[in-house]
Amino acid sequence: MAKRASSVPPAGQTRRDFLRLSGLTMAAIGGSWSLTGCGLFGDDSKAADGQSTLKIDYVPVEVLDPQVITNGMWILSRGISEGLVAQNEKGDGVLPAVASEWKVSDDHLTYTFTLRDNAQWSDGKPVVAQDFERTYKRLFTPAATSAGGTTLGANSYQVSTGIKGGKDFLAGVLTDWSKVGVKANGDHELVLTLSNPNPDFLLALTHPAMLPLPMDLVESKPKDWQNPPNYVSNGPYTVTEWVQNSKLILVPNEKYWDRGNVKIGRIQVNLVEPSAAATATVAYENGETDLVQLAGPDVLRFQKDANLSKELQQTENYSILYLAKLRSQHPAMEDVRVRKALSLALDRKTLAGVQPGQEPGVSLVTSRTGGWDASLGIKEDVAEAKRLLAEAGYPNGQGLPPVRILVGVPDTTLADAMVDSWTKQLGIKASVDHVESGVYTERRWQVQKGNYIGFYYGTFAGLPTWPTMVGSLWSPKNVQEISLPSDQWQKYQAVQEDKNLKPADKTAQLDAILAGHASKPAREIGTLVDKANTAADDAKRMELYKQAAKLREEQYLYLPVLWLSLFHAVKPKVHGLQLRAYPDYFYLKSLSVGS
Amino acid sequence: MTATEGVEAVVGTMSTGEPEPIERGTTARGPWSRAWSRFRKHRLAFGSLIFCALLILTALAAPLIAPYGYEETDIQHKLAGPGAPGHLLGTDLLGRDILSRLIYGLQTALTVAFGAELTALVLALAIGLLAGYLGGRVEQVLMAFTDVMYAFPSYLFAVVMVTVLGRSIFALVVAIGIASWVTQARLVRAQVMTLKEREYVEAARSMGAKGSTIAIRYILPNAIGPILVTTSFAIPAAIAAEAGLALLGLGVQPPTPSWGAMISEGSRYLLAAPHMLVAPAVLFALTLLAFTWIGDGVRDAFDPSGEQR
Amino acid sequence: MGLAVYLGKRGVRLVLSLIAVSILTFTLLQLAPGNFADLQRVNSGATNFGGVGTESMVGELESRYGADVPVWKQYLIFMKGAVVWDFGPSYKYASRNVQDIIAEAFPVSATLALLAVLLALLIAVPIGVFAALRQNTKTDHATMFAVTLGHALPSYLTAAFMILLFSATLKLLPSGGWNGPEDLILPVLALSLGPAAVLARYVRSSMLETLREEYVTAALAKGGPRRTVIIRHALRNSLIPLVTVAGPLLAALMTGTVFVEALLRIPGLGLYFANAAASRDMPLLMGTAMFFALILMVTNLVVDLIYGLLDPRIRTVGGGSHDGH
Repeated sequence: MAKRASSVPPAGQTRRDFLRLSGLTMAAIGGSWSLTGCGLFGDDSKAADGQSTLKIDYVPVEVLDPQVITNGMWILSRGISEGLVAQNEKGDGVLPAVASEWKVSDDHLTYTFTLRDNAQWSDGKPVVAQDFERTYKRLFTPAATSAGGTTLGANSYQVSTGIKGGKDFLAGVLTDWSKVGVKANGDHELVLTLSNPNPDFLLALTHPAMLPLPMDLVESKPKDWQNPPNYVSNGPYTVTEWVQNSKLILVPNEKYWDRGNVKIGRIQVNLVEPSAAATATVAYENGETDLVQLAGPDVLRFQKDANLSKELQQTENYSILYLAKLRSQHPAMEDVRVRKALSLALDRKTLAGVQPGQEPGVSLVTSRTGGWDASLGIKEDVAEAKRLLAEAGYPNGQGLPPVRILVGVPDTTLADAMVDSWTKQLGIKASVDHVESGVYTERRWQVQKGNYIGFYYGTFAGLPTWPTMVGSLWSPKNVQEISLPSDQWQKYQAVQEDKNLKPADKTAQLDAILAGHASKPAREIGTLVDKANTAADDAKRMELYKQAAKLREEQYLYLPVLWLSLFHAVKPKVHGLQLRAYPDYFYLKSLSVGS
Repeated sequence: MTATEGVEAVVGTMSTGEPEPIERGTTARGPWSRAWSRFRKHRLAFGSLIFCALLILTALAAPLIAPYGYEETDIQHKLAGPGAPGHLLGTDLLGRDILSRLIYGLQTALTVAFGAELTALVLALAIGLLAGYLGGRVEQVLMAFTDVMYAFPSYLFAVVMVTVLGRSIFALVVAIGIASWVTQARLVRAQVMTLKEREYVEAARSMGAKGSTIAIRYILPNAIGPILVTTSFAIPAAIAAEAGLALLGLGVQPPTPSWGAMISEGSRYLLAAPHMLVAPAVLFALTLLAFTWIGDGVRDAFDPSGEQR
Repeated sequence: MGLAVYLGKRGVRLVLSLIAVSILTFTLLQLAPGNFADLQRVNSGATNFGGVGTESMVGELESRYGADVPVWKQYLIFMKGAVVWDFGPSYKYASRNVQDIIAEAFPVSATLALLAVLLALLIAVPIGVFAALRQNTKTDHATMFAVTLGHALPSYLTAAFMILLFSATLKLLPSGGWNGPEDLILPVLALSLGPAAVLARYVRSSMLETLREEYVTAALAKGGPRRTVIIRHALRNSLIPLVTVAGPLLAALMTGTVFVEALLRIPGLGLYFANAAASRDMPLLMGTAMFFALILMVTNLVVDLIYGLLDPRIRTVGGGSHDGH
């Protein structure tokens, strides 16, 4: 590409106008629907003169409810809704948002937030503490997030926030809301009480599920509250138009308490199917979008180009690519030596070379986590791997069934490379099992039949903090579940699916299976994390988390593979982009558009 | 599998138009040799036939011809452009040789296409012959069934077949075959309906020939021309359908190469690594064209009005 | 057979076919592995964050169906609504009813389809006539060569190529999106090439056939002006069968074109259908599948009726006047 589109090509503009005309002519020939600006193409409300416009690419948004797990929740937290607190520029701490200040009790269990009195919804109503309490009640009420269809709540994530009684209320064991640690005192004070100290609690409040909802509206229009013009938000921007599979139009929320710092007149969020990502950079270079996420080879191309490379921004170690053990009738993978051998024989350095911005993932805890040191990392060793394999009864892979990697995402490049690594370094048979995503979701929890052994392929992104990296991602409970022998795992699943059990009985039965049959180290990890959660001082807490992490890595039930980066291309006219390693990537509020 | 392929499928039968009876003017030379000599004069079609024969030979001899194995990676030399040392058409994201993957992909494409067409043909013949010959209730039921299948979204069908049977070549053959028999069955039935009123069929019947004998000995051979035409148009449609499924992530299991998967992977990096898209897309297009031209030739060969090029 | 009786019979067949399509779709959906809730969890980027938490996240079927309702009853509940054009809310697009989604997305697909078929006709008729009049000349061969090219290439390749040419290289057109009339150009072009090729071939052979008919040769022999004869007699009669081709083509395009829609970022119905199947969104899948079937069958019926009206030879509207198509 020798020539690049400048941001506003004047010549092209006239040609566009001409083509727009000829397009209109075509439309007129078709003449079957009302095409005059609205209707077919949406309202097409253009920014008024002198107003700045920003166009960004995003994936399709199916639901605009922050409590439902879809991509919609992460566009909301970018700055359509605003929570009690927001993340700071680096994403490792919080700043005041709806709450202007807060106090934490000495035992780190009670958080008292003071809400600013000029916070308003876009319809002019004040944002009050009751809004938060009612929103959180909805979050913790089983099946409450149903927006008129089958939904699944983000509520289960909230167990890790540790709000007192939240987990039990959600499970149906506790039915008295007043016993849950969420309380509004008047209009401007909200008190949240935890069951354990949680050093990440304030950061956890920046999760979309903790954003406030206009509950009067949600309750009076249970089906239509998400659809403009009904939509009401309390963040810097609000939604005026939503064309499914096409675009979201955002304009400043005129009632926002910090309106003076909201700088863009109109934001068009292009909702682009992942399968159309092929042309994402065409759109970017053609001036149809100002901000786009890039994939591997495009990153290389941008890096090589003198001009484009200036527009490239990297978010390092955004997520962790891992393999998780599949349960199987065949016993090979139950032997920790086999799993360890497979981990030691992954040539992570070569794997990291497959795409730009990847690093060898030597532990499940990324090096971004404060206090991380190399002692946590795996030391690759092919000779040791071969020895372990032989010791486990599979010298040179003899007798070992082919090791599969179950993949449910479209791109298998990295999984192919892992298979390559194993076959080259260990001489074993291995293959990628690429399945449709529905098959993936079902198969990865099953006990695989016959001699099907291997791992499923997944990625996780989370806050680079110890409670997240050890307590929430690959949590002690996950480790215990995955360590269950196949027969116990099947029993465990049967209890989970039993609709006749009372919530309390179900929880008790599940806990009993884990207590009785999960591996000893897996239970030990749980104890260590519990101790860490209640530890008196920060040094002690980190020490315990590290011990738990180390023990978890030594089980080789989850194999870390790579730490992945994210890349965005941003037009030079866009200022104030602060990329964070969090699934919403950045906030809209800090953005402005210059010339 | 989707509306796009729906068009292809429609295309396949559409272009044959109302099939002409072919026994008209049968003289000393048999209809087959006449058709063949006509076909040979159709230069484009004849050239295409040779091209396709070469493709088939290449597919059969893939391990001998391909410079590398299809899963041989060389990450040091990933994304090499065309003409790179040792890699005529360059390499992909894992440094696999694109030429070799194309050659092995040919195996997949042809197996799926011929397999699917065979499946479709068998189904279409069975249902079309039965319906056309027996008539009455049987015909009504069979044709109602055909109508339902015609209106049925074949995407879902393909998804289920591919997910239930796994992403194997067999699953693709079944999925595509079953999704494309409908139009052919309609054609077969229409043929049978016209043919069974013909004098020689009447004659055979009056001499006490059994229904099945009439169907197989008299009707089938005479219906074969138009059916052959549809089939040769349906083969490129099946290749396109395989590619379409691969675009949706429902193609054949990697690392087994398939053109569709290569096109879908290549189109993800349209600007960054165009050679990953261009090579499979060009070969894919050429193959589709060749089969279509063969279809043209076959149609003209069996068309008594004898319009040739 | 009177027209009323005929229409009645077709109507009954249509309803029965719709029921069969719904049962088949529902059954296949039950057979397909995975369910909506699990898929949503894995597929949305959101799910990369946080724990795995199986139990509470496996979605609750909403009140319309109820969690413990047996599968066959779910079907009946769905169909009860479907009869009065109420498919209920989609699972995936939870704030919308399926019929609203169809009402929003169908005009998009239908507009593209109409324009594409129209453009295809505008291209195909002159080309077909032109080629037929110069049968077996170099011009004929060259034209038909180009036509085959358009015929053989799937629309997604055409679309990708057009994006490369018009957007990436010439920077003339947007590479996709749905913001104004200029966004119609690429998809209409990409979608019309295939149908144009089909129609052109059809016009050509139909024209050739008509030119051989006695009344045309007679008119020409009588020394009538060639152009008048061709337009007055040959063209008119050879365009009649075109209805039988253009109709199904239109129907196929109207029901959406997944790849072109995805590639060019068009909010059409095909994309919804593909997403519904991939995410196991039962109401949306059932709704769109039945709608597609309805469109196809109604188009066929209309084609048969028009054909019957236009062509006096088949005034006795039989059951399968366009069989073989």
